[in-house]
Amino acid sequence: MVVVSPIYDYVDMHGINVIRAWLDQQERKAKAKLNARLNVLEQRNRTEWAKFNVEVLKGDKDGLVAIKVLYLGTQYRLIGYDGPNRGEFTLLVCGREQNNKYIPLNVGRQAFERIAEVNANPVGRKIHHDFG
Amino acid sequence: MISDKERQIRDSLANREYREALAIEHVNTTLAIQIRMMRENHQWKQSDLAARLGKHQETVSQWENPDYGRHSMTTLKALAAAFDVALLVKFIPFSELVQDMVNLSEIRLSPPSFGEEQYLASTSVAVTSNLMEDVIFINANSQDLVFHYNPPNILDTVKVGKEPVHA
Repeated sequence: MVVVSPIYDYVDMHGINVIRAWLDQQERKAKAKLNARLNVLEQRNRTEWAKFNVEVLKGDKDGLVAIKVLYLGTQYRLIGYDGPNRGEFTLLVCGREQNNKYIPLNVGRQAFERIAEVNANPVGRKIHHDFG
Repeated sequence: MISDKERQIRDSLANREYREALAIEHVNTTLAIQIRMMRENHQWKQSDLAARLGKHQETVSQWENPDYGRHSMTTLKALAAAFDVALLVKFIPFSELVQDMVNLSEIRLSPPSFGEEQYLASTSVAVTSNLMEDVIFINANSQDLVFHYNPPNILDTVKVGKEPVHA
């Protein structure tokens, strides 16, 4: 199995994988597309991700990374960061982008709060991405 | 041994709608990546590839977008000819899809052109791995394992060290 840039999911204080929980709420075909994209990204060097609609955000989301996936007119956004350890990428919040605005609107604040939680407890607050 | 990821993907296939979508998205995404990687390994700009195929640069840009997903057979055949690689389209069981999904190695995504294969055949011995069906190239003199990374005019080979070979 090829894993070059391991992708992790944020786990909340109750031990819930919130990324998996969010994916489970999406339309099945959308979830399939998002997981297919994550599967490919995990097998490519992180430095190449920009070629696959992955963008480092600026402004109030400075340093966060958005994996951008279009499915049937909906612009999905999987927000994460490079960490907590070198070579790792952790998904923090999932949402959509509409009219140049992220939904939920507090996605940046939420993401930064979660980064602090993951950095404080890298073992307990992240788990390898669940492709199920 | 089966990995957690492989098991998760296999389990997810139980839902028909999901597995159909996953198969389509895997094809769409890997096609886009393959086109981009092969073009870059040939050191061609999008406009170079477009010119070879009589298309606009914007069209190549679309083909390389993982969200595009509308590649036609005609386009794929033309791309195979441009890159001098074979195009193989066939129906497979989902178990094979899972294997492909978790083994997107460099050589699978950007296969050597015919000319590169010929060059390697003249300087190396090719051995097929029983794990991934990838072709592994071994330097005939040193017996070191080598993988081939394209640029076609440079015909570069990169050593990855001495490893046991599954013949």
